Order: sequence, then C-alpha cells, then structure tokens
Amino acid sequence: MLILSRKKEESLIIEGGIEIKVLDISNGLVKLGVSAPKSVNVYRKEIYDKIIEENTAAKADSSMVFNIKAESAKKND
Amino acid sequence: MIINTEVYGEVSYKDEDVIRFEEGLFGFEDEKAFILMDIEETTYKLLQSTKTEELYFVVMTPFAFHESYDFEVPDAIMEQLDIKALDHLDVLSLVVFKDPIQESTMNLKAPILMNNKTKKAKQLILNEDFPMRFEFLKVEE
Repeated sequence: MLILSRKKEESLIIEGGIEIKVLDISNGLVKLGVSAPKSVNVYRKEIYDKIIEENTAAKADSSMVFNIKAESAKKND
Repeated sequence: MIINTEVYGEVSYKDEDVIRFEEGLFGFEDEKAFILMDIEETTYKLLQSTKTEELYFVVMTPFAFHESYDFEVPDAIMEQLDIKALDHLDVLSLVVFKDPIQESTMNLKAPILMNNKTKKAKQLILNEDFPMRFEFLKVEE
C-alpha cells in the first residue's frame, strides 16, 4: 500500500484522469473531493462491501426456485 | 448454443439472447454473460450465468412493489448501455429468499439496468437512499 501525507487543499492524481483532493479536515472527519471521468464509478467502501455481501446472498439454488414456484402457485389459488 | 443449468437442465440459447455485463456483477466481476429465463407461472425471472452452471440469481422488476421507487440514471450509464429510448431500459432487482418466504428481500439500492435491445447490462449502486433489503412480500399483504 502506498502511504502519503496530504494537507488541506492538496490532492492526489491517479492515472486515468482521477484527482482526489482533501477539501477539509475537522473533528476526525476528512472531506474529499473526487474528480474522475464519467465512466469511473466511485463508491463508499462500506456500501460497496455490503452490495457484494448482498449479491453473494442472492446467489440462488434450485430449492429456492422450487419454493418460489410453490409460493406463487399458492397465491394464485 | 447449449448450457447445462441446475434448474432447467439443458437450455439452448442464441448469441443475441446473452446479456452482457461488461464489468460483471459486484462480487462476481468475472461473470459477464448471463441469460434471462422466465420462472414459469411466477413473475420472477432467473438470471443464469452462461459460464458457471451453479451461478444463477432470481430477479424481478421492482416497480410493482415500491410506489416511490424513482431514481436518476446518470447520462454516462445511459451512454454506456446505448440507451436511446426509455422503453429500451429494463430494471431488475436481485431477490434474496428467506425462510419464511415473507421475509424475502429485494435489493433496491443496487438494481440491474439492461438495454432490452442490445442486451448490454450493468449493476448500479444508486445514490438515492433505497434499502438493500426491502421486504417486498410483506408490503403486499
């Protein structure tokens, strides 16, 4: 991992047209500004990780498909 | 082409039926090609990987279950998916089944957007504050 120190108003350039700037630091909170090409998606990591967890939970199995068919049949009765 | 599936056995499909996720799905980045099949007599669909037999998801259109499910699709995404008319855009939500089934959830935070003409698709994380675990079967009652 690359470790760098930055002050307020200083930034990092990541190749590919991405700039991350420290806008403000106060009370243990760092406010960052991210400029990136439109095709680059930026996510908060904790949300990104949760989505991966949720996608993994969504991986189906055949008993699941059997159950939803049974449930839908019950509802249609 | 023919793939073997756990749910339907051998399934034949055409190249133009293949839904292409350029970046895969979150957590499944190597899975870029899927086919979509109706689960008979239900409103659910099965999103089956063409590469991995045991990888499939249950998905469905979310709009019937959540009255205020509106979100902004960024222009860059519309461009990436080549969507030129709104009726070319399909939205699907991944479903997680629970026991009891009434506690099953649908992911409204990270829907799949698909161009139903070109079959280009992408899973998006919305900025809007929608739940990742929306208990869609409870609302119906």
